[in-house]
Amino acid sequence: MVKEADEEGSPGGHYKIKNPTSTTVFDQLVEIGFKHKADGIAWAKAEMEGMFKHCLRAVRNWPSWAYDDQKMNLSWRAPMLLLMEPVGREAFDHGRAMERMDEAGTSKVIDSLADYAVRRLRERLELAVRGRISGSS
Amino acid sequence: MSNSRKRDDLQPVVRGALKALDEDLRQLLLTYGDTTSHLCYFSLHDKLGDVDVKVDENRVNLFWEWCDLHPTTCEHFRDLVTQHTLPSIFRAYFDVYVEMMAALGIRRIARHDANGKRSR
Repeated sequence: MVKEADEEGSPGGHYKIKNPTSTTVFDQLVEIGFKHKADGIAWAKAEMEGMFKHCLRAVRNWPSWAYDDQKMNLSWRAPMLLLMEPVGREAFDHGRAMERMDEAGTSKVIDSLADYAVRRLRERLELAVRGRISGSS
Repeated sequence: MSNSRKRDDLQPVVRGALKALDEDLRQLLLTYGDTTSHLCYFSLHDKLGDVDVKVDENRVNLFWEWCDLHPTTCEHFRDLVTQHTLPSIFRAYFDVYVEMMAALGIRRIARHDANGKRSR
């Protein structure tokens, strides 16, 4: 598997947490926001949402890498296991798990996973914003 | 993108800082997205018994290092993985991936400093 992260990873191909500081991207955005904008937190939140929008493409590519070790493309079809609990709502059926969905089913399940990721990220961002406003973060 | 257009109004130093943060986050998410999808692929196909390739130890180490710093996420991951079904394995890695995105972007997390010590 060759992906962008391999090519641009740290020297020697070792995966390490690159930034040794204790602040997050949001922390740094808030800091910039306070210095340059009247409403620093609201500005930082909007910027963070914009950055996460960029990440959605990666989320939509993740299932094809995770199941077939290949980049998402128009001909990729999701396995039926993505409709089964605890990913989807159908009961687990080992015999059908590796069968492939059609194009519409694939698109729907990818949308559903991306929506889930967006919801989680928004929840986390709201908590971080509230924490900043209350001064407890 | 509207954000980029809004950024035209900002001072150059702020635009530069935003660009650097964007790039940092993109690289972190690529690395962790790659790690989780790689490990999910091997877990799924190890269960199916149709892959005979060694898993990348660097990715394994990074994954467990991250989980070690996030016990709640790690517990959720273990609960799902121990169900031993293909969908539960997929869900386990996908949830960790999403939690990693949130943690790296938003939540304050412990990281290693240059001497390998953890800090918050």
